[in-house]
Amino acid sequence: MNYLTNGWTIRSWLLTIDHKRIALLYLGTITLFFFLGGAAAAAIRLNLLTPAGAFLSAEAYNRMMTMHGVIMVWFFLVPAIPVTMGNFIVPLMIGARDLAFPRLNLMSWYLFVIGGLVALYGMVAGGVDTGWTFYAPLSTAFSHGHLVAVAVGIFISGFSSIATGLNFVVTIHRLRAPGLTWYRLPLFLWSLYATSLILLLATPVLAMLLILLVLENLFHIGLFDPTIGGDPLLFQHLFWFYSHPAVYVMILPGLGVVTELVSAYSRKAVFGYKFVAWSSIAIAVVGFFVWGHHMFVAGQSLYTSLLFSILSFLVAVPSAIKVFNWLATLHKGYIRFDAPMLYAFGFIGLFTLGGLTGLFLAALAADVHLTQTYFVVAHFHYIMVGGMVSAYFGGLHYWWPKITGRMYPEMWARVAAILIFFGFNLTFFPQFIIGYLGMPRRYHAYPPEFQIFNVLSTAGASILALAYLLPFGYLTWSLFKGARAPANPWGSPGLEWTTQSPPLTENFVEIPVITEGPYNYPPREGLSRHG
Amino acid sequence: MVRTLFFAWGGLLALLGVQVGLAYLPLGAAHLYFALGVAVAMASIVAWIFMELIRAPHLARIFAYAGLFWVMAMFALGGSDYATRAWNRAMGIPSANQLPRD
Amino acid sequence: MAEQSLEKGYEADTSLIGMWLFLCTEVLFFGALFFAYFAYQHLYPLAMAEGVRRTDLTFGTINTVLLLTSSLSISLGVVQPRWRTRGFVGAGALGAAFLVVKGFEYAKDFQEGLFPGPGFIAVSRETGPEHIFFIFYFTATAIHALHMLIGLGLITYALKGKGSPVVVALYWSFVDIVWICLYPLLYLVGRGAG
Repeated sequence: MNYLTNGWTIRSWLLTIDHKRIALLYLGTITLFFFLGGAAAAAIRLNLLTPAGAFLSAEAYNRMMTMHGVIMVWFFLVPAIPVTMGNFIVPLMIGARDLAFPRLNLMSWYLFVIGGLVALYGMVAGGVDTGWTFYAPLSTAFSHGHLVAVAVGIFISGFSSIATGLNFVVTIHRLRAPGLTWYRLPLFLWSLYATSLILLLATPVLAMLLILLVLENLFHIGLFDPTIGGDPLLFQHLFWFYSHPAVYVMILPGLGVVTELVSAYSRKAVFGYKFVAWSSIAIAVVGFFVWGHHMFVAGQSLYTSLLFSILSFLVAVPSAIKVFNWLATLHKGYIRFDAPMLYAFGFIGLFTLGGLTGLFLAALAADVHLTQTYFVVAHFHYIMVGGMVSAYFGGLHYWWPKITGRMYPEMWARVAAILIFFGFNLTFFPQFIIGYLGMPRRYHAYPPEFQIFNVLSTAGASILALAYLLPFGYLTWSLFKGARAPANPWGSPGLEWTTQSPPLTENFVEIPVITEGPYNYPPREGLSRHG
Repeated sequence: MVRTLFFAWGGLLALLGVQVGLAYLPLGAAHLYFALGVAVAMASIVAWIFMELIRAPHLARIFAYAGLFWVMAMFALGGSDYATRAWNRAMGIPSANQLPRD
Repeated sequence: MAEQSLEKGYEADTSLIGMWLFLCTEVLFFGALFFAYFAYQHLYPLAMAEGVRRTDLTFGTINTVLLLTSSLSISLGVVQPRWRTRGFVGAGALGAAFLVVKGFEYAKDFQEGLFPGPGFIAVSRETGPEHIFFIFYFTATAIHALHMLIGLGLITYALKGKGSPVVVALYWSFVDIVWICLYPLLYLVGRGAG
């Protein structure tokens, strides 16, 4: 008897308030969006095989790249880890039976689905060609497409984000098991807490901006129209006030997952627990004060740009602290190269590279040349795809036995992880080069001297596409034919591993009382104690 | 408690009177700041007394003040752009806004 | 959640904390609109003042008094259980009155050509883009009115015994605070000789 077998009707799934079932509902939805966004990416890369644009017109290309961005940002990356692994694991990790507001949780899924459908309608019915940033006045006066539908869809899904964030914050504050103090929490929860803070504080600003954008589009009121006194930069301020913290929403859960994986697969307590914990909070807080670095060349005041540049350098520090702590955790650890660990290693390297290239962009003088080129595109894909998607797959594999009660096939998983790493680098490293050489982003055609790099990139993308299909295949297979998983296949400490796999609907037979820290591995013979 | 509520309401109405009166004084550009000050006073009465923020759980107060802090940060950092763009123009750097300023 | 409620009122406190956290998000939501307002107030102070002079101070002030009193009413309903129904019904009635007054005000505004867009009637070209003030005026008051409607729904909910009265009262008073901040910016700043 477990949460999966507790009710077989569709009603018991669609009206569930069990956080674990809701997590699975979300998992299905965002997997669908991941493949839709990926299909758009395939169209983009195929088109860029030839300098003149292989098979898409400029209008069609603009719609594809916008669709890719909108879907991947709002309907995959922002929700990904929080709504799947967060929803599933948070109550288990804190020793609770569910989140603080279970019905709000279910409503958040419905809002997400409705928002997604409305946005998809807009993209299919006519498409939006402004890029996922839909700057005004381009998006309000000159573009063609169903901007209002997409904006409304994103607006609705924003409520889903806020609901999820609210639920997590209140749950982590109020529902911890007896004895579970803040410094005994697994670091994944610190990351999710920080993520939730951002969701709560940033998303409302986007909501207001979307309202203004829709009003401008429908009634041509002229708020962002410079010919009648509007300020286009105001749009950008409001947009990036949300969207920059949003990128931390996207990466923080990944950082939390990697912390768990690094500890689990080196069988060692995380080095510098408090530093890692507070670095998540620091990223969330400082991340709110750097948004102007997207506007260095937009006409923003030079003095404001200076301020944002300094702050952008500062925000890199807590991320670096995490990387150093992971490395120190690995040192003298008992390391196993299971698939989740391969993903974690890939994350550490690719996230670091992506993060360092962000520093180039934070420097005003360099940014003047690099902005709006493929350098930026490569930078954020290294972090989001090389980093975040790797963390997503790593976490998915790590907790798969707990969620489904089945083991995935280890060999296939390792093959996929390695293929992803190579395919990813082949896709995106050439983009650093062409960006540096000056190829602009969002162009459907380009000068012939960049072709070889684009061809390499597309080749990498096809490997990457295959590599992403592999987990979809073998994970589905494992649901039916995978070996039954024990309660704790990895030998990890942590409350979630004390429950059966899959867990009971009510999670715990008895709410546990916590008496020790989160990474209590038994000391190994012949080695001095660390951590 | 009931008496406190009525006093608070009286205070709010008095502040409303001040608020309206200020509009007719020759304060110039400073009027905006006075008006905001009175508004903050009124909002504080509603928050602390009507919404019982002073007696609320510790965490509720933290959340309330956090929201304020964040919005202030938005105003400060974003506002610095508007406040210092004129310095750009003095150096010959064009701004995004085309109409002449008053 | 039953096992975690070791102290009396733990669950009630959790709902209270949840509502304050939600109100925090509302501060950012309206804050974004205020930010846009302040940006344009900085860029076009004369045009904004011109807009303020064209709003109806009587309607605005009456509405402010209605809201302040409705906040009192709902707070009385919370602290005195035997006045609960009266307090909440009173608050709802005053809130509904606010919306009625607003309706009359909007009708008058439309007639005077204040709605931004092609039909907007500017007073003078020299002061700057006056329609921007009215974008704020209509957007802010409409979104505020929407929040009032939701608040009326919540009050009805609470009167039927569902949901927590304290939490509903928090929401209601918060919407009042939003109006307290809007009122001077929409009706007063720049109106007088100053």
